[in-house]
Amino acid sequence: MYGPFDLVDKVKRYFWFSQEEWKSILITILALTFIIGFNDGRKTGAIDSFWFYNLFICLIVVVIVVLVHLAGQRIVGLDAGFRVEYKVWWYGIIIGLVMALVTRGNIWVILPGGILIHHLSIHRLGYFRYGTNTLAMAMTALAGPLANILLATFLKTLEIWFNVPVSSVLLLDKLIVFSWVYAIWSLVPIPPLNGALILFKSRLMYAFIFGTIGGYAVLVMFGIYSFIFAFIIGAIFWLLFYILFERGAWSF
Amino acid sequence: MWMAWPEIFSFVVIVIGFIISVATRSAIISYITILLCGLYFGRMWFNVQKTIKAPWLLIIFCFLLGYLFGNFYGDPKVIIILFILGMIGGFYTFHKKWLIIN
Repeated sequence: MYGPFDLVDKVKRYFWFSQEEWKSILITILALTFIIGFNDGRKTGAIDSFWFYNLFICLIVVVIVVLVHLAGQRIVGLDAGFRVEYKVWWYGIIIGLVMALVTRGNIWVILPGGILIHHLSIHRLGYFRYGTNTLAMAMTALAGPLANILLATFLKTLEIWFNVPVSSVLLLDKLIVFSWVYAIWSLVPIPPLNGALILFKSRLMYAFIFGTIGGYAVLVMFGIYSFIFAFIIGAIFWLLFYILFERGAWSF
Repeated sequence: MWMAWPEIFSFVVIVIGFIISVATRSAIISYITILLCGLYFGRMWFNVQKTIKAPWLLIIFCFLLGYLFGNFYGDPKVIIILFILGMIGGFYTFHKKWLIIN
């Protein structure tokens, strides 16, 4: 609303993480590193130097993905006059660790945590609506997965359009995969994950967003990289959800 | 039906405990898993400490029972001890505010 200079100033003042948030981020990073690094892709299951090397690569990947996710949310939140606070979700972290152990790391359950939004009174002056609202919360929550998708898309574009061998570098390949997985898992509508904030704003909006992002992920698995097709899948999801549920939910 | 939610959830957690235990396929993994489950329930116990505890006690007991039923690798005594230690650890981590994050 006040332009880029205001946003830069707000970023300088409020962007950095508090001590409590650093604790949450550290716990999240360590847990997620274990979850995605537990299975190194070999059939031997041995814990040797390659296993630790793979774990180290996963650590770097998780740090980048988690920080990009949180940075996206914080910048969008600050732009709208909110300070975003990250909190770890203990139950989700433990469920993910147990699932990693039980399935030998074959199934990643990534339920790291959610965000709280604090109203910056002075920076919301002149906004309509003034206080916190579900739309602002949904948009802020959505910024995290979108930041991850932009990162993954940027890397994949380098490979497809400019022939940079991204997939042959283990770190970059994992970065693309984990960015997508993290984005999709964070859209699961379980409080306190991001998906719940979007769902509470609008069920139809959630159906469209989840359909688009999930649809794109499915297309990627078939080697098709197209946001247009993803939007079409999202629109189909939206329409199906409207016809099968939403229309009936409003008829008393 | 939902008046009997503790019984329903107890049955569900027996099944979950059994499945997790069967899926571990090694004593060490089984021990680490039950320790993590203890932490989970310790955290849960911290959250429900000011409410009626009997239903939660039933649910926790049923989970442990399900886990022991499906346990083919680890020693049951060690599993029970690790579960209790995990619960105590999970509870006191938050009760003593060692990690202030809630």
